[in-house]
Amino acid sequence: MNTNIKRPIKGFVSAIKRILAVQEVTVLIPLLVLVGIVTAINPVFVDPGNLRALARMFSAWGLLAIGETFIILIGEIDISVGSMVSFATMFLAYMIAMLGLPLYLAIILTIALTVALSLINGLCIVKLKIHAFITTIAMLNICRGAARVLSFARSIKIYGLEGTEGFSRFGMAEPLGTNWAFVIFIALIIVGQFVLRKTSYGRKIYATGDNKNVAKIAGINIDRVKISTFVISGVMVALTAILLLAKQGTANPNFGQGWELMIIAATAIGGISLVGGSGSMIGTLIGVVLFATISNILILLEVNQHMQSVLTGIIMVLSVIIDIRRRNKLLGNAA
Amino acid sequence: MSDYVLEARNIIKTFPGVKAVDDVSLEVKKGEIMGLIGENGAGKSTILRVMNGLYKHGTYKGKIYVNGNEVKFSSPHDALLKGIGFVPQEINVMDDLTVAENIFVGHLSSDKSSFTSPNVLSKRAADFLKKNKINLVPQMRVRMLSIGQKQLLMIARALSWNPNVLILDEPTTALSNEDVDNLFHIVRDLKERGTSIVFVTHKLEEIVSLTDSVTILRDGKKISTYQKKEYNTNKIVTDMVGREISNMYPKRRTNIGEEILRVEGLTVEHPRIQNRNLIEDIEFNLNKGEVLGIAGLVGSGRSETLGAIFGQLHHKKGKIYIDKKEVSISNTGDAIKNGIAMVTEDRKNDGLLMLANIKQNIVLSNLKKIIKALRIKKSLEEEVANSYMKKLKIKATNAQTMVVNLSGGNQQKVVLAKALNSEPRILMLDEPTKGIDVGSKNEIYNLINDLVEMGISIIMVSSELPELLAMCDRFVVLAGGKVTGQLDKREATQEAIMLKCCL
Repeated sequence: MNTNIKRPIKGFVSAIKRILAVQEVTVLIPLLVLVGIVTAINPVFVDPGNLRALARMFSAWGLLAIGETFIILIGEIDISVGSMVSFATMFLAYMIAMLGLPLYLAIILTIALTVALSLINGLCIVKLKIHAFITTIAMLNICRGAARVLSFARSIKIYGLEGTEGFSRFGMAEPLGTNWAFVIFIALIIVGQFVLRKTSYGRKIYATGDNKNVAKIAGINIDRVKISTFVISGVMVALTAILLLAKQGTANPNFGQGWELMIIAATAIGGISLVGGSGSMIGTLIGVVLFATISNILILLEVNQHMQSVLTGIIMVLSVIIDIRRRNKLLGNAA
Repeated sequence: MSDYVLEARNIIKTFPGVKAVDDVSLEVKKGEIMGLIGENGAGKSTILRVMNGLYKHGTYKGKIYVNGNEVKFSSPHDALLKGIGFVPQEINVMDDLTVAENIFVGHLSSDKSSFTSPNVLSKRAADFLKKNKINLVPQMRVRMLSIGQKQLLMIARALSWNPNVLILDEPTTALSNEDVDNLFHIVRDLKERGTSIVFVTHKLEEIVSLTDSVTILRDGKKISTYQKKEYNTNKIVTDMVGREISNMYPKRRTNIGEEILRVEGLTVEHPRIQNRNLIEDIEFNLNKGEVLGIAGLVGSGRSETLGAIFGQLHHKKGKIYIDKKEVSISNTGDAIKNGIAMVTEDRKNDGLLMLANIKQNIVLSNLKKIIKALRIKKSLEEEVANSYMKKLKIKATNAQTMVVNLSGGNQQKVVLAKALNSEPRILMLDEPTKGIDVGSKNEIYNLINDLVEMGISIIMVSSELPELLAMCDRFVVLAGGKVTGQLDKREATQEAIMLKCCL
């Protein structure tokens, strides 16, 4: 009789253990705890209106985190995406408002621009072997400057211009009570997870991030794989710029300022190892949501906004420590 | 009172799930060279870590005595102060400092002053090196040293603390024969001056030629100890492996066919030094069903030759023919497409994806094989991995086992499986048995023979001449990046090859 009772308990314990062994769950737990506490203090948090606001908040830069995930998984880093968004948004607005180009053409040219800029990042890192940090910090400055040069450091408004009505409607639409940016973000997270886990391209990314020599010996063209992750990131930048301009109706040279750090923090929190080779798109989703939740909570709790920055830094360090300990535990068995 | 300078008594060290060292006692006499031998996983490294303080007192059971007095080490530094010097297996030096700074790191300044000057330090190092008959230049930047010299430097660093006992953990793994001779010379000299040595190795010849006594470990237990006059290599091997290996180098039926690969004038430039080549005008061919041995000292261009054929290194000049047709190989993908696969020397740095499991490692070299309609098919992946695990007798719970948890021999088999999974016709093996135990070596030799019988042609690089002589049909000798000789099986002896190596 005893055994009958024990067995389901044992099964339950092992099930819990299995669930906890999945890397992403370690991130999910603090998120759930946080949500629980905050809901207890301020029930407004779980209000549908607030949740929608939350979704809108992170969907603006969530797409960039998807691109950054690929780059970090492969063992590189890109800190230029925030200012590249600013430049791309300005470029798009300039072509519509100043040059009067048709919308579709302006969008195509914007995608071409960001892909080209990301390609330059990738080529400098892979072919010229300049450190990713140096390369993209240079690109950050170039893009931030270029955005200001283009508009004489002012904003460019496209809202209300002839031919942009549909564009503005798209930006203000509320599919599923949120916005298109959110829907696209979730869709691409799913696509990204599939690509990483189920395709040979995904395997090549993990292999290159884990050990590029091994990947090379297995016949993988690691240069091409590395550059491709930058191209993906470039496409994400263009998408973000388009969605941002559609929603705001104005391009501001200060768009995207500081986003790169938020993005990297979110991926680190989501368990993407900053030295490459481990993590998943679901991790990024959790990291982005957690990050946005914290900011939202701090606003609800009326904490000083600048405190958010302090807390983000602390959480980021904690996540990196967790990652290093996990890695050491795994690799430590080798000795 | 005690005859022993260092004594470990009834050491037991357990890790979660395993008893790595099970009731082992070791005694080191004054002025003796004690050999310690055993397969991977026999517990050698663990007991060494107990004796050098890396596993501090209290984390194991048993007692350590130095000159008859019990000691409780709290760290490797503490052990060093109590007379136990340790030289780890991996090269670990500071490349951007000088030889003198590397030797005296940790006690750079004298007792009288907390300042130090490069000149004083160099002078001190010069005297010290001369006394110990170690031939290094104190002012030299360590980056410029060869691996052999770095190994000597690590020994010098340990000696600078005047230890009673010097523990050397597989010091010859990366050394050329010449460097090994040099090392033995220094070790014998130390012995004469009263320092005791614990010498850990995989290699029987080294035990026989160098040590005064040998202790054999297997599965965490002490199996036997022999004095020099009782040495019998067969007995030692049997004790190590736990079974007799009657046929260390198995024979195979050879059926050598037409030429499958030829290289002509292969030249690779030195990446940093202008007008210097890593390899120059390399020329040889490989026939179907043949095992071609590439001999040469460390730094003679053996690995670079393989690297150039495999498309890892860019060749400035030269042609590669497969089946008598010229092929262009500019990256590893090209090489694999042309039916070439490679197993590299350095398992830790470029052998395996350490964050991945057995399955993910094996399938990596041929992802197309497991893709159906753009996505990886789990069942196919499992099938491929399991078939190689069976074929190569990889010992693991299942294909999901992380490769970090495997022994050296099994890891090497996974590396081989990964190479074979690209279905090569030409397999290049760079030191395929480096750092693995006798039992696994024998298995790898058998495997090489099986592959040859299946029609795969093999190019093999090895620093162990007996192994190379036994396994290969023909030999190419390299020295200074050039081919200095080609020998067939009848002409090839250790002497004949060494002679060409030193040209």
